[in-house]
Amino acid sequence: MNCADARRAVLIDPQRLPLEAREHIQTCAGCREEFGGWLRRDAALLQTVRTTRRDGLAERLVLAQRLQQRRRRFAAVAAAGLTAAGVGLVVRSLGDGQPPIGGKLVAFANLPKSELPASTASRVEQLRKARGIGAGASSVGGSGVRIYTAKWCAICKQAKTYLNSHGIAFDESDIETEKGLQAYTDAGGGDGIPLLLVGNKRVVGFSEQAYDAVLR
Amino acid sequence: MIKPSGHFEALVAAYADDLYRYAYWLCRDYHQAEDLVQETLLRSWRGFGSVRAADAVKAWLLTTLRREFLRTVAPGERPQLLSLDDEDGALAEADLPHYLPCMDDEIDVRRALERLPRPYREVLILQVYFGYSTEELAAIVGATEAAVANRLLRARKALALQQALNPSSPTQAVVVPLKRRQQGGPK
Repeated sequence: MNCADARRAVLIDPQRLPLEAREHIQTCAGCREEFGGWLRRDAALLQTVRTTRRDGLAERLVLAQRLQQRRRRFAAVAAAGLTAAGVGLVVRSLGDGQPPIGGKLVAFANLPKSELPASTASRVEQLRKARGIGAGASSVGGSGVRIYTAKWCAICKQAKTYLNSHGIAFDESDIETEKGLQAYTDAGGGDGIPLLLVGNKRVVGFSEQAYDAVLR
Repeated sequence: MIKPSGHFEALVAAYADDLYRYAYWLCRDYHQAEDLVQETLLRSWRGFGSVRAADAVKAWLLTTLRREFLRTVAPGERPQLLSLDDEDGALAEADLPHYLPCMDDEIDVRRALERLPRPYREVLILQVYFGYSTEELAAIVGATEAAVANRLLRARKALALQQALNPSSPTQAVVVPLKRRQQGGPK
């Protein structure tokens, strides 16, 4: 190795010289002097960086992390509180002031749904009065997943696609049949389809988020 | 898989000072450096599952901090480096003074370091202070080993030139007329 190559190796990394460079430096006084100079310069650089510091840094970092955790906890609590208040408001607004017998309505704002045809809605109202069921109230409870649909309801198809794709077994009632309409009325239906019953929870309309919330 | 302590305080105690040193010499601003360290540690706090060895944690944090810093630098402000193939702007080996005055004055060292272009300064700091090899540096800064070696070489050349032109002690000054290659001048 010649002086130029040895010098290049020193400039790149004086602490990790290739064997040839080290051997050359041992035999060349000029390169040895330059190598020593670079070791001293690197030592001065090291000291300069080492003295770069910021007083109180650790304390401020820990404080920042605690504040961040506190903000996250507060946001989570606030979100949970709003959801509970929303559900309570919806429940109180249904059933002519009467609490639902079963089937707690889960509150999701503005879920896509199909409105009942006027004739169907009228029939539901008749059945409700005949059975003594208050508006929004339900006499259906228990386990399992039930959904109330109609063949012409595109949103109902989306809901069933969701249930099938997630491997969720369910019973379906067609509100266009008398038996299905009676079951829909008993379940507290009346303000649209699909109506989903999951245990004691009811969801009117469909969105993936809403179904995720009640089914998972 | 090795994970650091579950306590954020332990993380800060182990890495904050070194991260700050690197951050300061990246941006040369005390407040921005502290913000970078804070952002890096808070973001990394929940991401240690991907780090598989304790000795890789520091390199991972340095890489994360560097990425955070680059987010703050507008593309137009990033310094343009000479390409590896473009040697016209570089000083020839023979142009440097053969007598290299020792940088005893810490102020001179600090000034010389601050005057270096950032890409040269950061690889020099990572090598000299953190002890990384050119291979490890290449992984941290996202460049080839050859590019990193070139930056280190130019960084040390630039330091030597600054010291020669701005000596702390006049008695040690060596004034050498600079010669340029005939193919082209510096850019």
